[in-house]
Amino acid sequence: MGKTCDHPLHGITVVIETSGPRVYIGRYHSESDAGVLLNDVDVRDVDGDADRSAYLARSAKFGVFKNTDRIRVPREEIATLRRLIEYTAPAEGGHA
Amino acid sequence: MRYPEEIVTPMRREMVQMGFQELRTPEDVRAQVEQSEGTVLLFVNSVCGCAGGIARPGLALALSHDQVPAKLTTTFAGMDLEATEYARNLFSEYPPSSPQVAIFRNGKVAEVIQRHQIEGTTAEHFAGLLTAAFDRVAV
Repeated sequence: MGKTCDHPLHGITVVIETSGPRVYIGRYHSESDAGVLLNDVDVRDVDGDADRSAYLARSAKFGVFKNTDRIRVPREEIATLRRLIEYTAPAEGGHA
Repeated sequence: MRYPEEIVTPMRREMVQMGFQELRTPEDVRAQVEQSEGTVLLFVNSVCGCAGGIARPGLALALSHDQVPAKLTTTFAGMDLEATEYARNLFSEYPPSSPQVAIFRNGKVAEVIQRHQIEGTTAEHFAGLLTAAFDRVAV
């Protein structure tokens, strides 16, 4: 059971990809046996791999347009959990 | 809802001591950013830990770089509500983020650094992001 402000991801913006079209981007709060709790979340169903890649790259550059204040992502849905910053294109900079 | 002023006063003072001009109203933002010639850095200050532990110290480090925006300005998210909203509307393709940095050239946004690029890093890393942005804007 992991309530914690000490968790290294606490307060960090993360991406949770699932095996399906749903992607969650939000600030990691904590996790428990029930799943991962995120705040200020953009919950999005992407349309295939190209749309997923474009969405993640766009979010890494611009940030998160939240559509959900808080959500718990069930553990069984989670395929990957990474920091959003990891999706930044190399040598990216400047205004789009 | 605003934070108690006494909580944020030291955080405001830190910026002023670095040479930043506080923008507390939309009129301030209009005059000092939107209608300003040359380069302007706008820092959206915040009470959050990554502003205090990374962003403000990173800004202090970056200001010793040889290319620095001509004008340094700041608003405070959660305090200077109208000024911050007005400023963010100048780069509204970026979602609100606290803290965040926008660099303008002749009133148009040229660079934005968002919270997710700051959190979990170090002041030195953030200073590197800033100085790279300073160099791009100066070109």
